[in-house]
Amino acid sequence: MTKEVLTAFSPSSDFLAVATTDGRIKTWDVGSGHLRGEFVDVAASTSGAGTAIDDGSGHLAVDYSCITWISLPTSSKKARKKGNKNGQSLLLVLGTAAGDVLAWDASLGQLKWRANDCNAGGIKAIGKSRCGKILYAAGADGMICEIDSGNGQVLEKFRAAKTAISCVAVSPDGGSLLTASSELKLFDLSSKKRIRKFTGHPAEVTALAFSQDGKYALSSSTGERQVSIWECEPNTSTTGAVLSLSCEQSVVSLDGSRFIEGTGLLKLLAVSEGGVAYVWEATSLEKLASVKPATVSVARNPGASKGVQGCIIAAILAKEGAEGVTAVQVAHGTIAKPAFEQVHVSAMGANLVLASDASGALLPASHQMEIDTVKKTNVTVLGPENAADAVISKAHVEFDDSERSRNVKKRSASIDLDDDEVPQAENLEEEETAATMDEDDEQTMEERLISLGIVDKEVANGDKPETVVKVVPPRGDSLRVLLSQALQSDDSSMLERCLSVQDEKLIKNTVSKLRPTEASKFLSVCMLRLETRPRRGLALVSWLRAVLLQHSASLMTNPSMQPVLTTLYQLIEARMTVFRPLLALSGRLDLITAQILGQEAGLVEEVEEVVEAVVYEEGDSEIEVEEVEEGEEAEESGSSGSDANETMISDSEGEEDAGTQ
Amino acid sequence: MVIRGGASLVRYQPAFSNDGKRLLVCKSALVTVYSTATSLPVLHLSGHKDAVTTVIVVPTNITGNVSTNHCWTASMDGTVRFWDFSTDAPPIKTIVVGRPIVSMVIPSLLRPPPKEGEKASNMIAYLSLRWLKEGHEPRLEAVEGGKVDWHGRVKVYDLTKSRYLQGSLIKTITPQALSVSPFGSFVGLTWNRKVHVWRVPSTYSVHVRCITLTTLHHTKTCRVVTFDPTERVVAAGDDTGRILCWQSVGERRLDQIVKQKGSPTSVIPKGPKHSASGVRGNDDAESCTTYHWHANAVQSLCFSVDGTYLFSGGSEGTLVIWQPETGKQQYRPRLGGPLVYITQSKDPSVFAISCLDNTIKFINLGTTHVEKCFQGIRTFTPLPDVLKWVSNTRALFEPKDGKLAFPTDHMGLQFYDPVRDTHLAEVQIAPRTYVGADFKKDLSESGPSTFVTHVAFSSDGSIMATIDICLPEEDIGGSATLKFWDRHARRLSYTLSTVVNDPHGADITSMVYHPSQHLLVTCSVDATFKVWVQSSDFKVEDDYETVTGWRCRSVGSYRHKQMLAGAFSPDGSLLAAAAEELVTLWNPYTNGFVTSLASVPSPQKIRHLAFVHKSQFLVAASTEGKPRMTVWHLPTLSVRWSSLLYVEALAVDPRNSVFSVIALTGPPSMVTKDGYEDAANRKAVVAVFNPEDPTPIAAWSIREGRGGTLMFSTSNLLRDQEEVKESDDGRKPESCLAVLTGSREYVLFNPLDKKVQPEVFALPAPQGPEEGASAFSALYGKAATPKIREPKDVVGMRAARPWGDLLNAPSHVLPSLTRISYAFMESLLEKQTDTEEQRNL
Repeated sequence: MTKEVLTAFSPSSDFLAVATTDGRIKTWDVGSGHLRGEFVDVAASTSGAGTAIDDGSGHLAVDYSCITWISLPTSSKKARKKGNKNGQSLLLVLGTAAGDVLAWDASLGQLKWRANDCNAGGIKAIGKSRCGKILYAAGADGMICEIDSGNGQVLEKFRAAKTAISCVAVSPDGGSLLTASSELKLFDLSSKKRIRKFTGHPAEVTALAFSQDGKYALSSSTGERQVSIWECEPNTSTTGAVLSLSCEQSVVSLDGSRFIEGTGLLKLLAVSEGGVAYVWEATSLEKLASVKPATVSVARNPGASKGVQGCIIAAILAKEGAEGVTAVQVAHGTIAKPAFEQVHVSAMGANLVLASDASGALLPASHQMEIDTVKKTNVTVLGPENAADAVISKAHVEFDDSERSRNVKKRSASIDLDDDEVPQAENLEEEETAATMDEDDEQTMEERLISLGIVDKEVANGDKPETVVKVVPPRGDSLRVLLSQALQSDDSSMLERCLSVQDEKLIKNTVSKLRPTEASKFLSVCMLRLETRPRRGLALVSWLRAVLLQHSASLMTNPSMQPVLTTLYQLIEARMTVFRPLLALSGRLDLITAQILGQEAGLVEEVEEVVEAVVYEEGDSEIEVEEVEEGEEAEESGSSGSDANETMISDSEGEEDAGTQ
Repeated sequence: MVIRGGASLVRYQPAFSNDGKRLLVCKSALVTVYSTATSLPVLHLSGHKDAVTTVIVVPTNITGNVSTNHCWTASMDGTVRFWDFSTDAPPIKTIVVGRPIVSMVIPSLLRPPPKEGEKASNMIAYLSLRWLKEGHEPRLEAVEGGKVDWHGRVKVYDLTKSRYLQGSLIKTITPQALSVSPFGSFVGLTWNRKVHVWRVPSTYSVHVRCITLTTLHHTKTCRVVTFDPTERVVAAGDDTGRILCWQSVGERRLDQIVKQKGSPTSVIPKGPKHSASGVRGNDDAESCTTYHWHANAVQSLCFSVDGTYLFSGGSEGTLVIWQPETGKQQYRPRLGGPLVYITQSKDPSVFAISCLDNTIKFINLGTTHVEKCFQGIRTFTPLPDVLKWVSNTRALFEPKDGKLAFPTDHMGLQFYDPVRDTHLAEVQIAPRTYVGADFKKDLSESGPSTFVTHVAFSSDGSIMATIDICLPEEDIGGSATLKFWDRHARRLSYTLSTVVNDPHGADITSMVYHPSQHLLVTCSVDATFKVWVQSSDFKVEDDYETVTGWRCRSVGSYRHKQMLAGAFSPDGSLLAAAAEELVTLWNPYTNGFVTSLASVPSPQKIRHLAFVHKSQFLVAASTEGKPRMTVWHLPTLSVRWSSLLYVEALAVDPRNSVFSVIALTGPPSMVTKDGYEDAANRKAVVAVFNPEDPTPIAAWSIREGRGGTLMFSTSNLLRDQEEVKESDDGRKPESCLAVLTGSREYVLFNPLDKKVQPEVFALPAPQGPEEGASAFSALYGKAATPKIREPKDVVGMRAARPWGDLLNAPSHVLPSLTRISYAFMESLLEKQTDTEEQRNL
């Protein structure tokens, strides 16, 4: 059995080599996905393409059967010491069905050496020691051929089996060699003696690998849908498989480079015939048996023909990510243009499906067009007005001062922040001077108090008098003292505390004990508050009433209080003007509701009445009067605002009169 | 472990090996041998201490053996070396010339091999040297003096005997490149409006007087000269795009020369300046033909092996193939950049052209197709003067794979693998092709008018944001575009998701991505910064499909000040925006202003801003006026220290609480003025600081610091794969600093690893590590002016009672009082002295 396509990742997984049986090798750069080199047989390249076909030594004459990469350190030790990556030269070693081994210099793209006739009947597998110095070619004749990878000289040959060897692997320490046909044999490389024999595979082994620590061997054979794990340590003597991991298809390649016992993570990767990669990951061998593998596959493209269908060509366990997530370097797509992706396997049992990317140059044009249209995703385009619905930044201070920033905005009429947010000494001074010069009234003082966190915002603003309870109201006995102190010292916060008291009796008592001078001052202060925050009226009115009742005499005599009283009068007057129309409105509404109620009560009679109304052609005013009377009658039953209704009606009539006149 | 890479492939002419399978490229101080089959680097020849300027492969006809792989190199470090480039062994021979060599030719290599019995002639090299002027101190490495101290001189050097021949061939104001004819009979040089051609003497002499000089005159500045294989034609390209071909140069009969020498008066021509043949004046040539196609200067010129074709290239990015016999032309346009060198390979059908976009392209003569391309790191294009103060993204790490991303000219973004030193991919940010030099009258002003100024990646690398700008031409047509790209989950490819035209309406100074969320901040000179977030409420009208797009969530501004730089704190809870000279701190989630920091001494516009990870420090650097770097201590909102440094680039380490800067060492006044050509001004220091301490932990000097940048990588680039396998996870994460110079050479190393230090900059650019702070402070004088103010909240807590728990023990376990009294008293005394000392302090 020979594979049609041979693939291999380079040791650092920088390159992928793809060899086809017609003798063409291509190397792809994994990072960029570009074709790096294309090698044809040396015979063709030296003798020229024209003669190649004639003498049969062209690329078609070579039938590659196995492939592997080795990286050789260059001769100079100095370069290696520097940690220079280019101190290594990459060799691509291929075995042919004719029994030759060829080594290509992957960076120069030329044949480095050729070892002819290593194994009669063709090379089946090539194993390499970890440093890559020695190669082991196994052939159909059951012989193992030791080759120096530096120059291609055959060092030694020894017989490993009577039948053809299908796979070969060298242990990571380089001490032992595992060969496989249908049974696995472990050889000691120093003595070339067989140490162990493992039986269990029914047919030819197709994939064989050592674990990184050399303690286990992984294998899979044709027709089998499982990966067998064998214990290879010298002091053990098991001949059967330790563990078998099942998968859905037979396996063509295995990677055990992250299979290290003791580090806590055993990772195993297998690529199946059908182009699906299986990843097992567990912390111990026992757990590995019960783990469901994660699969990586390529999505089937329904529109594509069979040849275009992508599948996973090769996969390798890549360098771990930052969090220890298993990363799989995958090459998928077509041989003509493989795509490279690094897949992170996060959970066991997951099925990762890669989008089939068939954008190869060799694909039919119609197919490509389809892909292009799919790729055209919707792009959001924003113009210069992109900030239309953006939030404007605001000062971020610990206390909530939305009220204040609103004020700031009103004042500066711009989105800019004011200077006074800068907690700099000079800026604070600036702010203070600016504040005193700016507005000399109570408002700024309140703001200052808010910003200092002394006064609660709601109290200061009086927006919600119900929440005033937050401020602790003073006790009745101390209220008078507190109030007089507040008036003397102009302490706004103390005054607020006093004003938060709403008990009528307490107010009356307190106000009665105020001295006349204090009373007048108190009145003016209250008036100021009423003017600046008209909505506070409800809270203040009981205080005002008490003051006016108790100290009317002294207030009347005090000429300086005249303007205050005038404003108070005007204020009350202004409010009362709204009162009348409001009352009128309320009366109208009452009337309408009463009518509706009445209609609902005597629905049948009303219908008759309506019919009558249609019949009578004159006397509209009478009906009106009737209606009004009806309304009045309805209202009289318990409506307190009936006289208001009357006034309303008369008002409206008067207006009508005025309109007609 | 130190990783190096980058550098220009096209600064000097490459050379093919004799079998044509390798290409030798001068890469800074290295010569890299590339395989022409796979375009992979095969090995490096390292040994030169400075830029290698010439590489000459010894041709086969000297030894007759095809497989010889020997080459000569000349470098600015004043040495000529002889190598075997099949191995990376040290040079076979090193000859110290003592002067920086700008160009070298060895005509005797090209001469036919000596006949049987004849003595092999000496190796004579023609060197174009950078010559120190009289009266100046002759220092080999003295580049600091700038160009005023130097002029160019062409000398002849005997490589066999290691000595100069007496006298100089020519003196020029700046050193010029030399060229040699294919068989080594002539050496040519262009200088100003003249082309000088020397006939290489066949006999050995001790003085350069024996070398005959022919000068050809022209009316325009000549740029390049070449010879045809018959050695009868000299071709020169000039600044205006003309190519002149002189036939039979220097073949005037001997009697004429004798006559001229006998009667010097007859040398000066009396007749008309233009002779019928086109030869100017009394030039020693038979005829002169002019070919004109190029609109701009001819930068490269080369004859084919048989002399049938002449290739020329210039800044148009077009290769012109002339047939001098018939005057017919053939074109290969759209090569992506100005052509600086054309090199004929051993295969007559293939030649290599070096494009200024740092690519070497192999062109097949028959099909004029590009067969192969060696892509180096893209060159750095500095922003034009109008945008000089914008701290644009010069390079950054792609967080997912740890690859480097470079904005390139022509609106591209190059991804580069720093470990393998290879080009990976290029994303075209906006469709644009190279169109050659702009047809403006003043060539010095015309530069590219489109740039990718800023690039930012989300922390997981899934989203990329780019800003590309188009400069206005005569104040019309300028624009900026902010683009958001989604990355393919597993591949290095990006799809556009959102385009924002004119995101700010003014120049954008900075763009930063939130360290943990999908949140982007752009700062602009229109006095605002904008916060962009992902939103999925964009409806497409035709199919009502929801698309995830980006929108501007909020706008912030501070006192109408230009926002010049932005930075996120490592946990993303704070956004710092530099409002001219102030640092403002914001909450990026609520868009609330937190506080502002004002630098008290000489406030200057801040250009760089960064939070130091794992500490409470913020670094701000201003470059205008008196450049200054300030380190803020955030909990106390105070300046911890500041230093007078011109910071070219600033980077913070995500793994340790250190930061690193590139500080230009030239005086700031010189830097701000025109100083791009001045080598002294490009010198810089890379310093690593602990934010607590104004003295750097380590400092190295680099050349080409201007335009350089530095960044810390988050991925373990410095570890080998084998190391990763064996690594114990308990190890402290290593820092990985990448320093990129203006000439796009980079070095990756761990700045905190003391073992690595001596080797770090030993080789290419710099001149060895500087010893700690002493040299550093010597450079700046009073550079370090620390103002360490201890935060007041840190109160020294004295340990508990010095006698510990002794007296708490039950009495029956206590030793007798007489025993412990001495120790007890002593402990009390100790405490006393201790506090006294503290008081004294």
